[in-house]
Amino acid sequence: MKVTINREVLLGPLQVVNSVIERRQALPILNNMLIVAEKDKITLMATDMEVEVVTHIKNHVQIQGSTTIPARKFIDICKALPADTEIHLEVKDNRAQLKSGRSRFTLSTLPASDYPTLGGIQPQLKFCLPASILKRLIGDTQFAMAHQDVRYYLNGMLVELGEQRIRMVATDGHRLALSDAEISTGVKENTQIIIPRKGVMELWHMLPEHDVEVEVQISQNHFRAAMQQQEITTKLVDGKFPDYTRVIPAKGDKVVKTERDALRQGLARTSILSNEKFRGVRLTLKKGMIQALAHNPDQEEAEEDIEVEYEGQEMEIGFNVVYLLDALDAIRSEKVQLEFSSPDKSCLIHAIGGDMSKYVIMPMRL
Amino acid sequence: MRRTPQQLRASLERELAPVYLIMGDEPLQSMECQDAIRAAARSRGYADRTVLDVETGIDWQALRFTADSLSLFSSRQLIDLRLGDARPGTAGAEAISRYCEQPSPDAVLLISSGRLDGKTLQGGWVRAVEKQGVLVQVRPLKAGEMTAWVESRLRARGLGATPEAVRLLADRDEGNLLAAAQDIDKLALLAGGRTIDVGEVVAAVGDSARFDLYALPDSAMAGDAARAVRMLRGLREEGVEPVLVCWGMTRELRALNLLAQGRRPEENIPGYKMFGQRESLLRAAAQRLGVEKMRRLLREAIRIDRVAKGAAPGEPWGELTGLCLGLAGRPLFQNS
Repeated sequence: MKVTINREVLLGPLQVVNSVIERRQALPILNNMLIVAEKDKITLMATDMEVEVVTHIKNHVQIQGSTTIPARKFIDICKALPADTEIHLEVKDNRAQLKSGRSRFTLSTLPASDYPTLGGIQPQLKFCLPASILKRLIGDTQFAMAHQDVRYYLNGMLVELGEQRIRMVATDGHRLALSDAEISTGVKENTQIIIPRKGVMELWHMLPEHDVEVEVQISQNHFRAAMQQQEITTKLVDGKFPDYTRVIPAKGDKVVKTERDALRQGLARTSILSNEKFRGVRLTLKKGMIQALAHNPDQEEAEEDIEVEYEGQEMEIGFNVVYLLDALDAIRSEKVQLEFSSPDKSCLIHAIGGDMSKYVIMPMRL
Repeated sequence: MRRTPQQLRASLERELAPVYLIMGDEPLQSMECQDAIRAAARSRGYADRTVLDVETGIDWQALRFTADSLSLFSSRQLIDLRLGDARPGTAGAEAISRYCEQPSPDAVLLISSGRLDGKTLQGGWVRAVEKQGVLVQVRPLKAGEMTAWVESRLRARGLGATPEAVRLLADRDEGNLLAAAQDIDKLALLAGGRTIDVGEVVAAVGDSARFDLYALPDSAMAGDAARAVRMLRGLREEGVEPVLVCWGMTRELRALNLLAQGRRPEENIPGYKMFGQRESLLRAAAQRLGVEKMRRLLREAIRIDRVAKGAAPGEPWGELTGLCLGLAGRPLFQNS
């Protein structure tokens, strides 16, 4: 195999592929990335046996071939080379030689035939949607996914497909985020899959800001999102997601309307003096305002009056302020609505106007 | 209040206390008490469970925080606070005492701990737990109690056994209730309703021991030194006599020695047979080691036999390890 490629062309795809590779690997070959050079295309691929990422680069190939080389070292070398240089990569006698300007490197290789690739999956479902919509759906919900929870099915994102709708739901048991998009999926009956946390995050980072078509393929055990030059495939979580519809509260009798930014900034200020690890704040709903109160083990105290539209009864309720801030950060509209019912019942937050996303947060006893 | 494990089980059917402390260093009873509490909580709708592990480091505020964080999916939760062999320290003692003063109305706190010394037992947090909830102390059985324990365990599994069988089982697993419980589970599968006698106990245990003994020289001959050493350690932990291990090794070494000299082991060792894969394994090993090395290994084995029987100075298990490594082609010293 022999190719010459510009550093700037290589670096982007290299970083996309590299982020899949886990730092500590049981199988040595999983520290490597697969490089395939054929005709006028170079393909990079990496996997951790759960998530597989493939990127294609259009580039001239002098000698076709394939190999696997240590990914981290390869990318570190490319990053350290001066900008806009040409990188020559040649594989000879099981060694990969890297030359650029006056630098020369020799990397070890492992045979490409040993690299665990998924290849084709048998999709039972296939549809296309714009990348921006997929990116919004994930961005609106991903923060609520559980992290290393014993309820393994919460360490991922529920994707529910209806004929004209795609819905994503994430929850860690204390808060829940839900987001909808209207998309013609061609699904006959409602289908639910759970994409593992890592796959969700990789996909999110990979999706471009500008608009391109993404083809989604779903098979029995895999989810694949394919774009023109990139493709990500992840295993699905084999488990049953809890019935989320049950925990979305009916309209509460205490409805607060407010400017999103004012509320967010007020809470952010108050949170500074909440307990550093366990971020409790006490909210008091009063006519025309929310009073936020936090104190920490050092007996320091923060108090903030936030102006809101509220006409209901006075009520005190405690929250993990991080959950509130996460939800307010994800909402993009200027005004938000918060619905409460009682101090031990969940609170529903959504945007006013165009409420495609909903956030449910359980209170804390303070 | 304090309860014995039996009393605990009976009380769980009636009610659930807000706090439990299971302590003691007898793992089986401790485990079974905890499992009983978890099951009782689950059946009463405590669907969420949070584990707080003290040994791996904990921020003690997490206890109150966990109890106060309400869940979307279940209104009740079990908090599994695992002290293990760690001590709660000042912060922990205070956190537990405080919690006990004001236990969460929809949580059960289950604290599990190793043995606590007399001073700790008199300490504030243990008293707070005792006042608000239930304290169960599990302790290893005394030598005389084992037989009765085995008997009641067998009865609970619906098994009958002769007194001799019970005694043998009690002897074999004395001081290791986990192993005894496993052996009884195994016997329950094998007996299938019959009364268990000594023969059955011996057979259930003897089988696995014999398998290991014969597999040991094979893995050494195959050159798998790591596996051979692991098996040797397993045999030692099983309580197999080094004399027996040495016999098993010597038998194969004699066969190899004959093979290396170009003679047939079947004709020279009474009752010895080799065929199929084992024959090729033996031949490969004999060829690998050669006449001179084989003779040296055999002489080693004879000396170790004397060591194992106390007729020569030395430590038999260490010597056997050396012999296995030699046979595997990875001698400890270059000239052995």
